[in-house]
Amino acid sequence: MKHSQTFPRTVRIAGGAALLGLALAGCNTSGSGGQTAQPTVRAGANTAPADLQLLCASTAAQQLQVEGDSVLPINSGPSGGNAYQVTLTVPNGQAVCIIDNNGMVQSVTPA
Amino acid sequence: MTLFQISKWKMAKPAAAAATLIACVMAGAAMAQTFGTQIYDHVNKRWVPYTPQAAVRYYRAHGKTPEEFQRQLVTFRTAEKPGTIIIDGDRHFLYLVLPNFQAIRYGIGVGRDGFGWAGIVEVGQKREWPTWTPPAEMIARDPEAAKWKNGMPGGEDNPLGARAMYLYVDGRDSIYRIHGTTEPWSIGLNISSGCIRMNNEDVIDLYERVEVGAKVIVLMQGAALYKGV
Repeated sequence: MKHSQTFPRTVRIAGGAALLGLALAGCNTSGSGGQTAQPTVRAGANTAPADLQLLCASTAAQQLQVEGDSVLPINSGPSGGNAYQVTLTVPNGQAVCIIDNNGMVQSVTPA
Repeated sequence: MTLFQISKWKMAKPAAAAATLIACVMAGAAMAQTFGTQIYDHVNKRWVPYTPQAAVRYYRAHGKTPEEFQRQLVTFRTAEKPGTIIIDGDRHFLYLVLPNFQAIRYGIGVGRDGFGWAGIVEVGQKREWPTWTPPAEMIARDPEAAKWKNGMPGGEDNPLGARAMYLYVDGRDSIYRIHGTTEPWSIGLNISSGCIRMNNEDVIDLYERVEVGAKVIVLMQGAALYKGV
């Protein structure tokens, strides 16, 4: 799964333990973006995965010092080979966030 | 058709649009999809639209929806609290946030073209085998619906399916729901009038895990209901 590159080892271990402890009958595991070994379906729009969009929103809220619930992703798409551009609604306007595939926010700028 | 306006990224008060109550479940199956799902055509080696017809064929052939829409545990990097529901309308996934950067991902059906919406709401009520009341406009055009004008009791033929979670905004019923379906093949499609539909097994699973008051974040690119977009 792609996530393991972005979190400290302790977090990964904790996550693994939680994974083992979960009683999720019938559940499989995969990455958050829906990439399975041989996908049979895909989204028609190449939007950023939901978790990356929300990471952008929470980072923007912190940087702009506004309530988290006042920032919401409204648009997203690829930005270069390994990142996404996410447009956010923010109080009194919009902002643009660039986030890479590892979940690292590169920038947040007013639109 | 715009039922609501979004105000400050939350759905505004429902207009006196109670007449459209639970229109969500009976949307036409052949409507255009703005950001529809695609399925790989192994014969012609290309991606093609995952239409309602294709979805029915797939379901008949496999007895289930594509694997991507099956319930599964996934990595989910978020600061949102466990118990939060994240709906990715573009990819037709609903995530229930778990501790330790995990989430349960379910396949969903969402609003068809013009009926999509996005915002931050909450689970205001939960119901098992909910009653379905067709809106007046549906009653007017569909004699079958007319007989349920006072409400169709919950049951296997009820289009809301086995469970429903009523989405509220500022303490008011938005009229949108997360609910089950009698059309499990429709997961992965833009097919409803704004409700989030899940197959019955999944909606029962989610229902057992979600509490009233849970935060629900709905993401949908191109949704027509954003104020200022």
